[in-house]
Amino acid sequence: MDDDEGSDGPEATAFEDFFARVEPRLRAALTSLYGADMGREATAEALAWSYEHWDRMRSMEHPIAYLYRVGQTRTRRLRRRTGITFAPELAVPAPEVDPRLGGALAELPERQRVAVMLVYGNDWSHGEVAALMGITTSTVATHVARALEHLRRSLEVAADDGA
Amino acid sequence: MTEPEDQIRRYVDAVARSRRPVDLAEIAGRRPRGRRPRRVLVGAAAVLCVALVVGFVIVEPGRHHRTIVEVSPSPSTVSIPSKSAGPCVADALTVTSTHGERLHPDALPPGFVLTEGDETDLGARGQLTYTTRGGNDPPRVELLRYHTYQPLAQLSAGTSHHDVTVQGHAGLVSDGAPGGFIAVAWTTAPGIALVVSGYKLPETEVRTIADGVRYTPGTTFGYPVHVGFITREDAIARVDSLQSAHAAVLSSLGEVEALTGRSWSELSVVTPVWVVSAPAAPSAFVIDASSGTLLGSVARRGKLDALTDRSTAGCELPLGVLTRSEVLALHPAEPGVKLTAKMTTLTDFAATGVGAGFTQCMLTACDANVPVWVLVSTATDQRFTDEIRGPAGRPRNTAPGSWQVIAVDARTGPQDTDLATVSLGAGSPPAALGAIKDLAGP
Repeated sequence: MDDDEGSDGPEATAFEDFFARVEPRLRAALTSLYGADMGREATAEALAWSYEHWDRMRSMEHPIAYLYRVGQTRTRRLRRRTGITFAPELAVPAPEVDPRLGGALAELPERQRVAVMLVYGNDWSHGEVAALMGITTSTVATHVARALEHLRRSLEVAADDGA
Repeated sequence: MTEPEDQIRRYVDAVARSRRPVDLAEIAGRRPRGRRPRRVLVGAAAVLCVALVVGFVIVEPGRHHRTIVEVSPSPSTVSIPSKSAGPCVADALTVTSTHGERLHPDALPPGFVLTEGDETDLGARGQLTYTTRGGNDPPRVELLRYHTYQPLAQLSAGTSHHDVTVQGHAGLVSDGAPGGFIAVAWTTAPGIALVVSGYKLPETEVRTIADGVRYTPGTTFGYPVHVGFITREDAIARVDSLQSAHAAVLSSLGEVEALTGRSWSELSVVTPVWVVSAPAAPSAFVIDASSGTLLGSVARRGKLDALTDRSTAGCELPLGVLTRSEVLALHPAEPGVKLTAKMTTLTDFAATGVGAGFTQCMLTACDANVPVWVLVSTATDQRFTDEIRGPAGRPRNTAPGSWQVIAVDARTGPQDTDLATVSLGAGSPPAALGAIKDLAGP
C-alpha cells in the first residue's frame, strides 16, 4: 500500500474489508498446518505481505490460497530455527477431547492434517480445501478419510465401517 | 470417547479461543520486507494492460458470435412423457435445507449470552454456545442441531445414560463425559436431533434449558422432473449459426454448471436447458428449455460431453441432480482402479454402516432424502491404505487389495452440501455396499 495514501481513504477501507474477510480463514489454514502459535505468526506475516503488496492482492481471485503459501515462505527461517513442523496443543482447555488428539494430529502427514482440521474443525468444504491446496476434491476426501482412519486407531475409537 | 470428527471440532474451537486474532494494527506495525520499487509496479501495470487488451481481442469473436443468435418469438412446447418409475429415484425430489432454520433457548440461566453461532443462521455447523461473561473457564451451554439417524447415545461422550422426556419426545441424558459435560439429547423430527450440553451446570438446569429450546426447521427445496419444454428442433433453430449437423441435449443449468464451471447465479439450478452444439464446434449454446431464451455459451472441452440427455434417458432423475455419466466425469477412476457408481439416499447409505457415521453430513444440511452417488473404488494393491499408519507396536492390516468408498451429494446448486463421505480399508469392500439398490437404474 502506498505510503502517501491517507489511512482513511477508500484503499484503506478496501484493505480493512479484505483483512476482515481473509484473516480468520487464513489463520485457520495456517494453524492447521503449524499449530496455533506458528500458525498465527505465519498469518500475521502473510497479511503484512498483503499490506505491502495490496496493488497485487486486491485483484487476486483466490487470495487465501496465495497467502497460505506466502505464510509458509515468510516463516521458513523461523520454523527452521525453532524446528516446528506442527505444534499440537497438548493441554487443550476443552472437555470431551481426548488428550492424545493433539499428538495424533501431529503424527499425520501435513496435507492430511490440514484437510481434516479444516473440514471438521472449521467447516470448510472439500472444494475450499481443494482450492487452498491446489488439489482435487477427491484427493481432499482421500486425505480426510486417511486422517480419520489414523486418528481412530490412535485414539482407539471403534470404526463403524469394518475397515 | 466421541468420534475423532467431533473431537477435532472441539479441539479447534478450544485452540481458536485460546489465541487472539491477528489485528490490523499488528500488521501495519510489521517491518516491510523487500518492497518493490514503484517502477516495477508501473511495469506490472503495463503488462496487465497489454494482457487485458489481448484478452479482449480473444474474447470479442465469442461475443460477436453470440450476437447473431436469434430467438423465435413463440416456441412450441412439449412435455417429456413419464417413463417407467421402476427402481428410479422419485419423480420429484424435495429436500430440507438450513435456510430458514431457527434455534433458540427460552430458558437460559441468568447471565448467559450467546457467544458463538447465529440463532437465525445455523449454517453447516448447527451449533450455538452461551456463556457467562468474565471469569476463567466459565459455565457453558451448547445447543447443537444434528441431521442424523444415529442413536442419541452416540451424540454425546457420556458414559452413563438414562431416558427422559423432552418436549413430549423421547430423550436421553448422558453423564460422565470428560470435563463434566451433561448432555440432553432428543429427536425433534425424523432425522433431526437436538442436543443441549451443559458445562459446570447441574442436570436439572440442563433439562430445564432443553425443555425451553425452540427449533424451526429449514425450508424445503424441490428438484422437479417434468416441466414444459420447447422441442429439440425449436432449440436447435434458436441457434442460427449452427446450420450444419447439430445435436441438442436436454439437461439442467445445475448439471451444466457442475461440468463446465460456468455459473448462472441468477437462475435456479433446476432450470431445464437444451445444450445445442455442432460436432466440431468449440462451444455449445445453452438455451432455456422453457422459454427458448439463449442463456449463453460454454466451451465443449472435456466433461460437457458427459451430460445425460434427459429427453431420452431411460431412468429419470430430477433436474439438477447429477446423472451417472456426469458424476463419473467429475470423479473419474484412477488408472488400475475398478470404479462402480450407485445412486441411493443418505438414509439407505447410512444403513450400510459404511461411511464413518456421516459425520460431515451431520455437520451440514443433510436430510434423509438427499440423493448420493456411492462411488466404490477397488484396487488389487494397497493404494488406498498405504498412507495409514498403525499405532506403535501394532501391525497394519495387510489383507490383499484395498478399497475406497466416496459418497457424494448428487445435487447441484445451493443445496449441494459438498458432501464427500469417505471410507477406505484393506481387502474387499464391505458386502453391504453390494446390497444397495441403485435408484438411477442401470
